[in-house]
Amino acid sequence: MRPHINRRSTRALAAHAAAALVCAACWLALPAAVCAQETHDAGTITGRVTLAGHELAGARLALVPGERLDPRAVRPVARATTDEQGRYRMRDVPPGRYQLLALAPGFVVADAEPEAWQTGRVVNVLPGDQLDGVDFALTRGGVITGRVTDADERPIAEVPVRVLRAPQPGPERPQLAPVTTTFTTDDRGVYRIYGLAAGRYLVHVGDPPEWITRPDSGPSYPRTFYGDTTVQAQARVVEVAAGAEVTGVDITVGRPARTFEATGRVVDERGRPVAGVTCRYGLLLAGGGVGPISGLGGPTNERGEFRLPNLSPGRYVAYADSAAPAASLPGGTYSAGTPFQIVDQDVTALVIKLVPGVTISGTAGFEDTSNPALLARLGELTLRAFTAPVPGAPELGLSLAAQGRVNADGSFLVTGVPPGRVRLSLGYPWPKGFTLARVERDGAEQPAGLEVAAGEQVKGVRVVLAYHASVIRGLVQFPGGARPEGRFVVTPNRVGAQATGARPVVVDAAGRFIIEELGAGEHELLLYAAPPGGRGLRLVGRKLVTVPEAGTVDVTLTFEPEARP
Amino acid sequence: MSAPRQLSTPPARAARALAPLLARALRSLRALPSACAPGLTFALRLTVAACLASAFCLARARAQADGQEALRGRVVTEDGQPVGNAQVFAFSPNRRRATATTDADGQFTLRLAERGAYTVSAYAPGYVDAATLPREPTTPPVYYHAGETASVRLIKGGVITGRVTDARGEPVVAARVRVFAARVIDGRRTFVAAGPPVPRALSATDDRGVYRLYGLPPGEYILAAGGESSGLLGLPSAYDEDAPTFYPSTTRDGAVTIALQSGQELTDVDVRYRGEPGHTVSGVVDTGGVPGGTSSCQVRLMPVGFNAGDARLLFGDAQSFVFGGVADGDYDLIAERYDNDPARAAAVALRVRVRGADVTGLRPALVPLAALSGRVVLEVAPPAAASARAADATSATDANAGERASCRAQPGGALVETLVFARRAAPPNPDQPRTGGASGGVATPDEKGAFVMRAIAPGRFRLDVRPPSPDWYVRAVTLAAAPPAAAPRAAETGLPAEGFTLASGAQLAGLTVALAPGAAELRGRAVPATEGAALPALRLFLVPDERERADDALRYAFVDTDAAGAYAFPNLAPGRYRLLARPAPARERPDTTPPVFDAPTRTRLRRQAESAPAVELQPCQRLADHTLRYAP
Repeated sequence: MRPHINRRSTRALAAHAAAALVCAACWLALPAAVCAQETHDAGTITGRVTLAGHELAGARLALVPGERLDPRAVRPVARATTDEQGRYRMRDVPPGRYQLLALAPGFVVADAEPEAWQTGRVVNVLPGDQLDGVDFALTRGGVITGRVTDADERPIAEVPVRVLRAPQPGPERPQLAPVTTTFTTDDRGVYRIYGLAAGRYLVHVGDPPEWITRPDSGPSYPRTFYGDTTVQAQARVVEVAAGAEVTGVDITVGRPARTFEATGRVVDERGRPVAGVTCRYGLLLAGGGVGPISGLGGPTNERGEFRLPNLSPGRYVAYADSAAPAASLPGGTYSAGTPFQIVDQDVTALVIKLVPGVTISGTAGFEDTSNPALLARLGELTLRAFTAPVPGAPELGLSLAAQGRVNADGSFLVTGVPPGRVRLSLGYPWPKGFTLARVERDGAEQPAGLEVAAGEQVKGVRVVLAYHASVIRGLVQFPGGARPEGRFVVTPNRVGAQATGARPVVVDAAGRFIIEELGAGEHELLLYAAPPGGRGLRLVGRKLVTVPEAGTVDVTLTFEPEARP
Repeated sequence: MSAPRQLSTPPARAARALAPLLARALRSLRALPSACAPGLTFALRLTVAACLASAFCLARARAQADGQEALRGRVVTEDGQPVGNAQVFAFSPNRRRATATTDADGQFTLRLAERGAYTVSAYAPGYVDAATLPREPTTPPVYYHAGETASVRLIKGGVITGRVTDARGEPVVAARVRVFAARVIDGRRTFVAAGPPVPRALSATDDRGVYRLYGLPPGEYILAAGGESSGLLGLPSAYDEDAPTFYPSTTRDGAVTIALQSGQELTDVDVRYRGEPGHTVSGVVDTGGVPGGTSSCQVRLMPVGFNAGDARLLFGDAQSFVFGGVADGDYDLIAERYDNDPARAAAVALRVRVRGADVTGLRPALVPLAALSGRVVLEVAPPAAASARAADATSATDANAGERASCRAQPGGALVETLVFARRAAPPNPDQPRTGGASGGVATPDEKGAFVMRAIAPGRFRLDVRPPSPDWYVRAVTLAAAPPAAAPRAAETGLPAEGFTLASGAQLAGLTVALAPGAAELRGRAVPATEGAALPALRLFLVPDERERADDALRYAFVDTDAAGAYAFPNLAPGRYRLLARPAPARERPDTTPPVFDAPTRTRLRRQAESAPAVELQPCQRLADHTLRYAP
């Protein structure tokens, strides 16, 4: 049964437009929940949970904000438990974008949203909505279990075991491996991965070398797949039928890779040691740049010394920038990368040299300075300056960041910026709706970033901000009422804007979508369909929408299977 | 928005010129005048020069230059078998750390970034570090110095395994299972979190409802399934709003104790999950005007009688907290923040009663914590000058000044290897909520002798100093007369050697710990006076026998005998003592607040020790085969 919108809520769409305006204004000061209470427009969600076709009593559900995982906002806004008929009801839901999760870790939701959590689906709640029929059809998940041992058949305890979907030709229903639990081996080396959708999987222990995940200590085993190979292409595929248990998926890992350490010193321009510095290091990738998970070394001692332990053979780079966690660089300095290679012994006498960076200063402000509520929040902003690639060793492909605060009067100062092409952006987190519109130097816009030479002090930079508080609430209509299988997403493109960077939003099962933090002006909404199997987006609808300043627009998009690209 | 502060960043940032060896000597030269206290006499200056030339200073410099700052050792099981691939950790009080992995023979080398005093522990899945077993609270942890050899013993841990099912017999999946070990803390039975120390081994039920907890030390446990925080990374789980179910199927108060023998595997410890809704406890942390607001503040909710509970970290400007799935009962809600900046360290505790309903609107207001700082001074001066400076009565013992200084040409150890402890001198009141912040402190001085302890909860403390080697003893602990103007609130203090009180937010600065060379040592064994009689556990007191030392709290010491009746008093001031033996406090109610040698205690001990055997200790004397005959 497909969810449907109650008649009442269609009328509510228009009736609450004014209330939404009020709400948009009070986003500045109040959380959404308070707004909802004040305007009495909370919604209700109801549905049914079944397991293999039978009603499931006692199943628990949670509604979490946003359609992607945000660790700061995972606290559910509502919860529910199914009754004896498998029915649930969630009341007092403030309008907004949510994921509705069936909290059933051992089970698989047949049509879970692939961008959502494994058992979640996107639900958009409009003021006064009553969403009925948001149902979950659960099936028992599959299991892969086995034992991990070393070359001497001793169990390997407390290592994470991960599953990847095996590459497979032809359309494939996208199902994520579970994310709500980490599976590790126990003291006997035994692991048990459950809640798997039917499919073909690769199972492995150990991390890829470009992840620096165990900098501290402990044996470092090479990533080994089921089939006892370190080469992914040679891994044995584990075929899991719906709800089936595959046992004996045992993995024997090789001897722990011999690891080495790199030691060195952090010095200032004159070669004097600098204490208390945390440096970063990571594996250099073939095409330049650093591996996705870098490590932290230090803090350096009084002699400026640091030690980077547990390094497998490979090419690395160590560097220091002021944006590193726990960074404590002397004012206004940075270090370009110091590359080093681990072959078969420790590396000593590395030198990370801190050199003075560039200083960028100026003012941040809005073009329209009439809104005192916005101006009052300038002091909450931080500015991040990215330099890429860092000069000196361009082949490393290193990008470094520096960060500075914006003062209440809008003036800002970012120090320790590596020279080169510098792009400014707002530091995370920024107040909702705040956007960096453009950066000006000497009155000229700098769309490609500021070109800054070493030793230069850049003053008078103007950072122009915009406040994007407009909202589009949409409904996708399927002619004839028949919605095809698969997912739909909507991307807003601002007409006339050079680069949008807009993220697509998901169309929920009721055909609804909500796009927030839009600037006023004309936007083109592009509706894409992802067929079952998830490969390739196809344009299936478009519409031009004019959005007022800090207002809300309700639109209807029509599904046109033969839309022109 | 306030900038996040790192809790563990060392505040010291020095940029000094140093070409390896010469620079080290220069540093010693610069450090010494301060180490030898202000008001240097001509004689003292001569000593400084002599020290600079002495083998002591040079040996120390060379050891650092050669990078000999390593701590080696071996990890073995109870029966002496090596444990390979064990993780070894070294921690120093100033938050320096080092890690290593053992080889197949159990050997490890910890490379220390800096000299200092380090504790060494090891972890291997399924094993327990013997040093972490419940022990006499007066037994201090062992600290090691660079160049020493550490031995770590692991014992095979026990296993508790079973199945969690609901009222219909269906498995309860992905529910967190926790065990709490019974301990005696401050003389009261308290449950503490137990299990593998590594979070990645957090235990939860699988799709069959099966759980397996391993690496547990022998002892008594209670076990709970479900409740909040079952989800990883704070993701929602099905059990967040449930009150935890305790084994076998009860509330916390009705929990049945599970006795686990050493290395035992207990199976079928099954739980029938109740799934009863808990309540919420929520509120807002009030900054109380403490600098730094509530950023990085941690809020914990612990049942009374438990040293374990759930925690929330407040990010950025967040001030509100919510705990779900809280069962009826009494709790301590503690909000606290540790910070390198003493002015930002703050805490507050509330006692919360949950009775059948949510508790909302709590508003704990942060209160500044106390800090303590000072210097350790290694006295290489003739003690006559030193004692005159400290306005200490010159005694007959001190007439042996030359002898004391010369009896050992090179006193061992480095200043940075000294340990200074602030230990709580009075037990907490169990009817009051526990206080946030540290209930004591430990610090090692930097190369100039400066030490600091931060984020200390208010209370009464005594200072306990462990010199860097057996060659030193604590000659004096003094407090600068005028506290620095920077201290926001004056600390109410007594004589620091006897004990002192730290008020909330007190920043007690200007403590000076003077260590003198020529320490003596007394080791021996207690035997029953009547042959064949049983020897009880004893607490031995050393009481100064010289009249003029009667009021020097530093000349008093105590120790508890071990199972074989052995005792050791290291780092003693030379002189004449009496050795008083009393029955040790009962083991089931260990006295966690050992005696403070204040005036009434000193008077009482001296009276009790009048007829006790006397011991005369010469400078540098190591008396190893002393015998104490004990008659009840």
